[in-house]
Amino acid sequence: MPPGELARLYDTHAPALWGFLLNFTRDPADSRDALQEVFLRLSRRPNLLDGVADERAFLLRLAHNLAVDLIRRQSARRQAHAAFGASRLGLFVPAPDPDQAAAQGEIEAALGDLPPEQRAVVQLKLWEGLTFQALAEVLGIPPNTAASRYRYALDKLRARLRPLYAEWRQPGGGSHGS
Amino acid sequence: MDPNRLPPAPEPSPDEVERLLLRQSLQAPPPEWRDDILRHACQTRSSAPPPPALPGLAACWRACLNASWSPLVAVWLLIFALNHVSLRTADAPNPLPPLSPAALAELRRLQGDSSGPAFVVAPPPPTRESPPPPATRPRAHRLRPGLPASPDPNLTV
Repeated sequence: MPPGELARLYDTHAPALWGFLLNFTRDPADSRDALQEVFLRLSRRPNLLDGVADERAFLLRLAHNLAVDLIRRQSARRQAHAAFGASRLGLFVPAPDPDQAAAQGEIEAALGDLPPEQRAVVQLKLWEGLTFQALAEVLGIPPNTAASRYRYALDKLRARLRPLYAEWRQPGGGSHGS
Repeated sequence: MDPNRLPPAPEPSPDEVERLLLRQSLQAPPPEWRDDILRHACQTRSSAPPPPALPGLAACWRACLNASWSPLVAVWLLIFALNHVSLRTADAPNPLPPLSPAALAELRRLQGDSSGPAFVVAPPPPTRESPPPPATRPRAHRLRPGLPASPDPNLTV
């Protein structure tokens, strides 16, 4: 691998990988470890991406597998970490407006209530824009399973974020719709 | 106002939920991590040992142990060991059973009938330790059985 290739891969894909890992694991330390492990693998096996058509999808799949391994190994630590579920995760860019910041906290908490598999589907569908077929390949599941997980996740998010919507729809209420 | 009489909150459509989520921008990893992660990855690459050009005997053995046909290897080793043990047992001399007294008498009779000894039958090995020989009587007792024994023959009258 050329010297600058690893830096190019980082600059191109690290933000998406970080967002996916943080939303999936809900643990910044685990996400940092998994992100570093992704680039360690790329460094150890320079031809890992040879013949790969979609770098982003391949790296997301690698990150997902690493995160699953991390979660399995550190289940005890994660149970202890769940006690701090109320604290902000820092998944989104902090909003300057207090109302928007509160809405971000609600959305983060709502995402945190989803099972990790549904969180991963939502993340890849919304923020990565993958099709169900593509995200099914990333996660190693059938496309129908991906679609149903996405539907269940949206139903839960809709129920959880209903007060936010009510405030949002009021005329002149809140600044979320701006 | 009775809160129970408030109209229910409007049900958002999936598109609204998606729009609300997409309104949030994901945060990038801290910028100071970039150099740290890349440096660590490059150091690991330079310190990683090169892969062996040819698999050695140990690698083959590990591959055998890890392969799905490792049970076959174990069975083969077991058969080899059992075969080795059985061969050693077959090579050992098999002792003949001892002859019965009737057979010995018949052999002696046949030996006596022939002009010369065709063969000599060895007596069966003693199964028990032979009794000790009787103690010899003192010479004085053998010469004069009626007299009391005397340690010095010159003192006898």
